[in-house]
Amino acid sequence: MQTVQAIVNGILVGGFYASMAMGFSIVWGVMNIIDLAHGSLIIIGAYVTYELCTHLGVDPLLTIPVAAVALFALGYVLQRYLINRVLQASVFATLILTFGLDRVLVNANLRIFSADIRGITVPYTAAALTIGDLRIPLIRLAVFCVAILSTLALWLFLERTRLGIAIKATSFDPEAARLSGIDPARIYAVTFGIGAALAGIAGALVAAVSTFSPVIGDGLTTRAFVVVVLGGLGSVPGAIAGGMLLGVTENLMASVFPSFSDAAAFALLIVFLVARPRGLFGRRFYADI
Amino acid sequence: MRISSGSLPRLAIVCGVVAVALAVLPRFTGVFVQATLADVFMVGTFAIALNLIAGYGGYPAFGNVVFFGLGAYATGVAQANLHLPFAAGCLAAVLLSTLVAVAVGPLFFRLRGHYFAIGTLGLNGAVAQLVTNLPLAGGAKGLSLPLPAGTPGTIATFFYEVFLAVLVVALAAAVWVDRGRLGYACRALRAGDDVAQSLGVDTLRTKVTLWAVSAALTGLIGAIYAYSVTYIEPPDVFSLGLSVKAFVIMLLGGTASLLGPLVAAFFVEGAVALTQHYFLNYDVGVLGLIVIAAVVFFPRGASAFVRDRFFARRSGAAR
Repeated sequence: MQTVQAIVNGILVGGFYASMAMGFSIVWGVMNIIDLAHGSLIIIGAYVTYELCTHLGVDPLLTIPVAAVALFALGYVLQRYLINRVLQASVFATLILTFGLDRVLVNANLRIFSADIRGITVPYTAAALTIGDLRIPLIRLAVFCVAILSTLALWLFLERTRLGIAIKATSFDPEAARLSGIDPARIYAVTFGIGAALAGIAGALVAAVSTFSPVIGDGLTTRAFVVVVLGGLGSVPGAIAGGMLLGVTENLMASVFPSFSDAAAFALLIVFLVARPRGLFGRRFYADI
Repeated sequence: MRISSGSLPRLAIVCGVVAVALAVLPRFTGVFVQATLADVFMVGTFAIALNLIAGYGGYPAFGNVVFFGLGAYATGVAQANLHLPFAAGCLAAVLLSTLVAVAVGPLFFRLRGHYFAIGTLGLNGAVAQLVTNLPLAGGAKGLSLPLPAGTPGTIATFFYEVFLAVLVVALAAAVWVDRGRLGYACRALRAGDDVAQSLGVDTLRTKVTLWAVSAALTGLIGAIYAYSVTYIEPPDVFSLGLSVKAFVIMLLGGTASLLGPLVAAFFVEGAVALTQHYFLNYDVGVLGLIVIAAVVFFPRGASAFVRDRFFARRSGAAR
């Protein structure tokens, strides 16, 4: 029974991992940027939700659009005026750049919001669905649904809208996209904005179900890495499957060897990198991996 | 990326003069200057060691700090638990780091580009958690090493000299790689594995050797660092910040010059010391800004070098 509960918990948290990783994945896939500041963007989203909930009494789930829009704007500006400047340089320059950016954001968060561990309590925090011995908290179920829906919305956006198709075209071949009247610099800014918006949504979800502080961003970035490698770069079904695989592995590990759940995630990462670097659903799609 | 500081004799003279000047410096300076310079030597050595695998080898080992942590813990366990002398701790650090690099190398060199980078990141994370859960190593509480004997002055001078000596060893290793058989093998390797193999280069062996040398040097400075701070904990010695710092130094200093990384290390460590002194509570952010500025304002250093060395022909995920 404990095992079943661990698996269910893993699937629930896996949905959250999927939405978190999808923002990371689209930025990586389209621009070849490994965004080490992704975790900090998530944390900023969490503070947006936290502040709205505690000061205005808004339900955390209703703050999701606000967090998404705020983070989209931040991400757009960061890419347009900072990251685009070094995009031509190399993948590694952007890796270091986003590390520097992450340090700045962590420090800013610590100064603005303090290092205190925050959390939100809603009236229905304790409400849960029980099936036999199995317990599914409603808020976690809601978070799971929002996460999966936002991930699927991104997929629809990329497949069905002009802007989404322009993003894919730019990731295939920026020069050809330019010849078709697409401005890659703008597309990149929009793409990073979308990645950041997904981080904002993930942040709102973090605030809704768990506690957080400015320093947990690194762990979130690492998990986003792992999920993308497990699922495959730029793949939406991959992000969902990878997120659940990671969530279930961590939860099973935590129920057997509580102190080794991170090591399990890293071990899974290394196994996949070596045995199947394109992940479960990876394909040569967005960028040249 | 042949080292371009003129002919080898001239290079040797320049290095010799610099080394002698640095060796006699402790006679004229206090503890603070010596400790800061020792830090410069340590980070400089880290960057030179990283350059071997990342610059020469073309494999961006983002998680190279794992060897620093392993070295620190090897000497920590040797000195604190087994009561061995410092030199034995250093030896254990070098052996353990080399062994790990040789053991995981064949697996990791199946990856390329930033898949390799992420793989090493995962290795660092996994090892850090294993160490955290090792009762022998003090776990999350950290590990206290025996205190070095002497006055603060003599201790500072001791670590200054040890770090300087290791730096000289690292520079010698860099020259050895650059001028020797291994250097030619690396140049062939950067033209592609196929090219290198057709020239009779054992590509895997070359890469593993490079990484092992890099790991040994990194493990050694980890050991000395542990003894100099006398207290270590996993988040400190497995900190990716150190790897990133070394990459920034590599990008700023360039890989084509022998003393470039050392000069860059001097400036970066100077910046760290100043920000910690003047921007208390904001030092992390200010350092982040310095990193950002370094990348934005030195795109040539960053781009020309990284694109050519790392990713020009190396964008595939795996063979």
